[in-house]
Parts: sequence; C-alpha cells; structure tokens
Amino acid sequence: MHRLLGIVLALLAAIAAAWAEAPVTVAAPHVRLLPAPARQTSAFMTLRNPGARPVRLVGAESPLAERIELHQVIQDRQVMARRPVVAIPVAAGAETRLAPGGFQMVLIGLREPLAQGRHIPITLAFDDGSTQRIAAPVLAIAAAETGL
Amino acid sequence: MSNPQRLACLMRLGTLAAMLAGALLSGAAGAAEDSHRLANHAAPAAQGGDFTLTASTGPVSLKQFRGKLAVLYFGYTLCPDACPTTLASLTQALKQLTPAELARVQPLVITLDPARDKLPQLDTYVRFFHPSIIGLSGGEAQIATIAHQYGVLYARQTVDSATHYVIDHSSFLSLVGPEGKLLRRLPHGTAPDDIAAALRAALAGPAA
Repeated sequence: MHRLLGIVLALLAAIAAAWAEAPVTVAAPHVRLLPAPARQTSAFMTLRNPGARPVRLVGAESPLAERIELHQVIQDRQVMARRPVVAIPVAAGAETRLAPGGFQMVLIGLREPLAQGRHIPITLAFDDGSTQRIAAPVLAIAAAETGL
Repeated sequence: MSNPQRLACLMRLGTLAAMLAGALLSGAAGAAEDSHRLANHAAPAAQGGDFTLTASTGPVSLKQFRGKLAVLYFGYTLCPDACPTTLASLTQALKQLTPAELARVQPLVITLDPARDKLPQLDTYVRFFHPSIIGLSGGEAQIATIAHQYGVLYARQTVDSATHYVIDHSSFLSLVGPEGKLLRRLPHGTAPDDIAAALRAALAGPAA
C-alpha cells in the first residue's frame, strides 16, 4: 500500500516537475536579410512559455556572429530609440514576441554575408540554465512581413 | 543668409550641440527615458529647402532634382530595425510605380552617422533596397543643419553594446516637390501601398 502510494506520489511529482519546467518553445524565428556592409542584423521570433514560472531569455550566440545582444526598440511619437537589455522576459503560460519595433536579438559582427533562405544556427540561453538551439532562416523584409 | 538668420541658425546649432552633449554625458540612463527626452523636444519646424551634400559620385545638391519628386530619409546603417523597415516599405512602394513615374522620383538617404557610414558602404547599403536610391553624407555640422531644416530630431546615445553607440532619431519620409518645396511627411510605419499613393498624388501635383 505504501509502495503504491509512493509510486503514485513520485509520478505526480514527476508530472508536476515536467509541467513546471516545460521548455520554452520558439516559433517562427527568422533573421532579417540586410546588406553586407552593415555586418549586423536582427533576429525575430515568438517565445512561448508553457510553464508555471516566468522565464527570461538571457543570452544567445551563433557561430556566424561575433556576438548577439538582446535589444529593445522604443518608439515615442516619431522618435525611434534602441537599447540593449539584459534579458527578455516570458511570463508563465504566456508568450513574448521579438518583432520590429520591439524586442529583438541583434547579431553583431556577422562573419559571412547573409543569403536569403540560409539557416542561421543560434543557441538561446535562459535564466533557468537551459539552452536551446534553433535554425533561423534568413528572410528579406517583405517576405518576412507577408509571412507574419 | 542675413545676420539675424545666421544668429538664429547658430543658436539652433548650439542647442542641438548641447542636446547631443547631454545625451552623450547621460550614458545609458534608462531605455525609455532618453527617447522620451528627445521626443519631448519640440521638433524643429520642418522648413525644407535646398542643401548640398556628398554622394560617392561627388557633390549633390537637392536643387539638381527640380522637376522631380525627391524622397528624403534620414537614418544610418548600423540600425537593424527602423531604417531597413522604412527603406523596405519605400522600396515596395517604388516597385508599384510605372517606369515613367519612377523616372520622376529621386529617393535620397542622408546618413546621421557620417563617422561610421563611409560613402562606398552607404551606397552599397541603399542600393541593396532599390538601385535608384542615392546615399548622401557630409560633415557632422552640415548634416545637423540639414536635419534641422527637415524637422528631424536625432541624438547619439552611448550604450553598453559592442556597437558603442546608437542614434535615436525621427523616422519619417519627407517628400520634396518638383519646385523644391517640402510637401509632406510620411510617418514611420506607413504601409507601402499608402507610400505609393502619396508618391502618385505628389507627382500629379496641386492640380490633382
């Protein structure tokens, strides 16, 4: 009897743990195709957090960029401003969109020119210690907009 | 320029220099704060008017484009969001024009970052969007004067980033008519169809 109870409790705990720590999913990632001289571009995506605890994206890296920074664009009336941020939050059971005019990943020091359709490997790092690898296709701005 | 106008111009440049100095000294003091500060400044009244800057082919004056519709955008290349978004929308609009209409339109991109945007790279950047776009640069003071003429607010912000500084700036397209007069501005986010309609309306002239 105790053993059965123990097994049931262990199962429940495992399910609860899995539910609480369900990894963030990444939907529709893409990297913006920009001309080569800038050696810099932005990556956009939707982060979904199915878990019971808030999660924060705290970093990213790619072999194709010297570094990736997290930024936020703020528009106040007609003035566009952009600032680095230490993290991009995703609330429990919610999603955060990285999109033009808002949060974005900025790929700095691109090691090669981008080409439409090429997939850029990016590893995302979250504050719970988890990481996730994605492959984000390079899309021209018009193509990306019609897709969204 | 008469003496009172010269003085007014110097005072405006002085104010802008003070703003830029303030922005540089304030550092990354809170994301929204700086942009609100800049946006809170009364944007200079956009008067338009002629100017001369430098293209990769040599000096270029706005009055060379009399008879055409000049479309001005002030931005910079280390700007992965606002500038490419607007230039992409403008490009989609230009592609809607007939060849005859396109021949009467001259898009110009003026860099707010002459320190980093060298002309050959600036040209490659703008032509990536549309082959008709001409990239213009010049001295910092020269660009400050012209941005002021066109009601563009901008300020360099030092940030904790590998790119060292970003430039907060007004983002809109300025339409200058065939007689060299500033006709209207299209705000950031104007859809390509609406830009094309505005270009066509401007080409049709006041009689339309």
